[in-house]
Amino acid sequence: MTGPTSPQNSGSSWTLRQSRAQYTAVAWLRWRVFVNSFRRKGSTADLIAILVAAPIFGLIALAVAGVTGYSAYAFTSDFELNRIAWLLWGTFILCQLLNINIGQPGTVFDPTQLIRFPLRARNYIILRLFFGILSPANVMVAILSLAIAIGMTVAEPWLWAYAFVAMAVFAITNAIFTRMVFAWIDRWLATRRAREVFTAIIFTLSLVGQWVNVRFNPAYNHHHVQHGRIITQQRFNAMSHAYQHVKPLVNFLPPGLTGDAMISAAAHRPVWYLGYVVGCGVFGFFFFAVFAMRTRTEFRGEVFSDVANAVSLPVKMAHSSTAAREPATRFDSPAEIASTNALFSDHGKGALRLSPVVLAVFGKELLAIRRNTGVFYALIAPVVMVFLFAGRLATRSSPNSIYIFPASLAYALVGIVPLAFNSFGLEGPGAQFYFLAPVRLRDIFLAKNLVNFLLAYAETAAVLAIVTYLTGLPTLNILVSSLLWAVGTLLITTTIGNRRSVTAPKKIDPGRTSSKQASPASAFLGMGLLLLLAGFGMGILTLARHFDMLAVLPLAMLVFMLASASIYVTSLRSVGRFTLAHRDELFEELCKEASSSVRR
Amino acid sequence: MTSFAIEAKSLSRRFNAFTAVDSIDLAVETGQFFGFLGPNGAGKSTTIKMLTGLLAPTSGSIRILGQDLISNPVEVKRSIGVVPEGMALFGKLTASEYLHFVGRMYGLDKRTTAQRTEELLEFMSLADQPKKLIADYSHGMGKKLALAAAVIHGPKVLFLDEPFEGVDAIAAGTLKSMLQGMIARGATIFLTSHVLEIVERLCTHIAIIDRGHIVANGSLDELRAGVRTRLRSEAEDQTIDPSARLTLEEIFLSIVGTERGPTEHEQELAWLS
Repeated sequence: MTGPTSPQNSGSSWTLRQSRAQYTAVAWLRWRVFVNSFRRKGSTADLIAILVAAPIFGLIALAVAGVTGYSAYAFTSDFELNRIAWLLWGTFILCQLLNINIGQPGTVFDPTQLIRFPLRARNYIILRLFFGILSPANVMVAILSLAIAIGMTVAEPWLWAYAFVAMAVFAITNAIFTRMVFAWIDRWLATRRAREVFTAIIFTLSLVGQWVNVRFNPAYNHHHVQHGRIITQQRFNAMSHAYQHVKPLVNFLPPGLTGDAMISAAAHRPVWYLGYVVGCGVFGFFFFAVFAMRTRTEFRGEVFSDVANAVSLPVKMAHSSTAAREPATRFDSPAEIASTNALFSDHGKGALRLSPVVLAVFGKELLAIRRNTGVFYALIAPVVMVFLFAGRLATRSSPNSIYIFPASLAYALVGIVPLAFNSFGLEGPGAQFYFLAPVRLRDIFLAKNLVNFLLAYAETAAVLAIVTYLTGLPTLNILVSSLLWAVGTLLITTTIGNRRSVTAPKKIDPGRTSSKQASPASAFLGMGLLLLLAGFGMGILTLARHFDMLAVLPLAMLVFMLASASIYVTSLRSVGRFTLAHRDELFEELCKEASSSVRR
Repeated sequence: MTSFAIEAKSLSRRFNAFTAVDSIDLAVETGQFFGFLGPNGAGKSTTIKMLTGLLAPTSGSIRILGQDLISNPVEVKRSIGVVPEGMALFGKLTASEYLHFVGRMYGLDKRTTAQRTEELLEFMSLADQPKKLIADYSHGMGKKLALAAAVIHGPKVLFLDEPFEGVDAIAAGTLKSMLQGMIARGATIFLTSHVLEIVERLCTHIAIIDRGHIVANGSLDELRAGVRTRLRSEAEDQTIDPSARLTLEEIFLSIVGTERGPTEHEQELAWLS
């Protein structure tokens, strides 16, 4: 590979200093993209949301790290170092679960664009390795590995060097493993069809998993504390037994090797310790080699995306007969324009008659949702969770069973509420069409809201069926009041969401299922609002139950629902004017250039 | 009395302290193929966004086919078609679904929409992959589809922002003949493009915007005559022969980009091999 052709370096070989300059340039680029992302409108709110959410997630991570570190301390103090491997396996599995649920952090631009610069393949591979290495899963593994090392050091201070080295090698190996897996997944899921199939497989597997759990788990529907403890002990023993069986095999994998390394260190066998640590490092090297193999191919310029496939197909030219005949369009005759006017003059006149515009957008939204497996999964996941947990929280005879349906309903709305907070996100620049077409913007919002309401209706029906199957049909009071609460909550959140869709939109890349459905501030606001209204509903329910006035509950929720409906209708009337007044903010975000040179 | 398809008076748009378009006046007669040119950042896209209702003007008035855009937006939009800068496509639809959707949004009945969709897809060579999603289209295919969507309702005024960008030469030729056919049948087309050869070949009238101001406006012959007169008075300018037939590129450069000569540019980048 040749370097730049400037007079200063033409003809000379590429130097280490120039490579370092490239790394620095990419790191600087990454930093500036991050900093500049806070310069757009609404970014302050996003930053506040991140600053509020980060400590919460940080505390959760620290709590998990605390438990892990204490366990490492206890195992080391009790000379049960063989159990350190359990912690490492737990760390590894947690890392994979986080990867599945959270995915890789957004890289704000496609790093494959870097191949156009005079990078050596080796430098490109290193850059790709570090580009995205700070994923939540990898950070978590690093924290937990550190916690294990600290726990062991506190129990046996003389082990500190052994513990920190072994855990560092384990954490690095894990991080490289994650990068390797994602590099290959990106390859396999390069096409939209593959992504859809993959999402469907994951979704089906999770459903099957839940079904197996409910169908075969002996603890299911047994809620006595004593019985639960026995079941837990039995399960623990079974897992321990199973682990002993597979131990000879899994001991040769990084968690097992690291665990054995620490056992050797504690037994004063430093050579064995070194051997196990090197063994773990060999795995890391192997993962890196597989990662490099994939990335090297990427460096050579392979593109598997649908767009590349599209342009590689032979394009059939228009038939000469078609080109020669009268062009497809002609100017509308006065009669046609009159018929058009007639169609559009129907707007809003009949309460039950939806305008053609609303119907057209409604149909288009349904098509878009049907083809967006990310949204589809987000809608189904809460229902699956209800299926999993509803039966565990209470039985038909439990005094808390009256909370099950309202709580399940509130949880199911978690999948619906964010949709209203970024109504134009998936459309990107396509949202301009609504401003170009002869339509009223309130009709667009109404259609989009109606789709959300339809989805909420489907989720509600599913939740009701599941709860009825697991714990019995809720009482009429609970059923009616819960439904009224759900309608009221949906109307309130949709009202706020419609406005946020305009003032704080977020362009969503439909090719990335991990893309968030709304801006951080909007997501935070939506969830906060849902939580607040759920608290309000539960508070009313608890009060009604406490004073034995459950019969009044539907009336209270009816008042809430009517007030929400009034707010929604009033807001809908002015949302068109509001949107026109804020269209600059909308287009600024939605019409910005795609982060990738290849549209997905 | 002359009828104007597009009429803008004292049109301005400010973004905080920056004035992108500064009190411009534009009048495009019905049936004209009007080219709107300018260097990058001159205010072309801002103007076209204001003329099509995508951006609110800070001040000024816009009339399309005699109707005020700000007070009658729906009526105006019904009679115009637009290929905007970002194409305004919906990635999760197929081309056919998208055109059906657009047709319904413009109030066409289902039969007419279906018929025109079929004809347009055939005409644009997009009919052979009916199940392909727009998200999977190449840039050029997207442009052709955006143009099809802009004309499906038979607009009387068509706004095109870089319509030929990314479109192959064969398709571009087909599109040009379609646009000229529309002009022949009385439509008005407002076109912005950086490809001056295309503008020169298609447009009868041209306006040039620079730093938010209209710096030239008239028929191609009028612009040519104006530049020739100016060049004759500036004897020291040796880059263009005033007696030769001026191309649009020469006219454009003469009006907008003559402050620094090409020799100076070459000296600045002398290290280029």
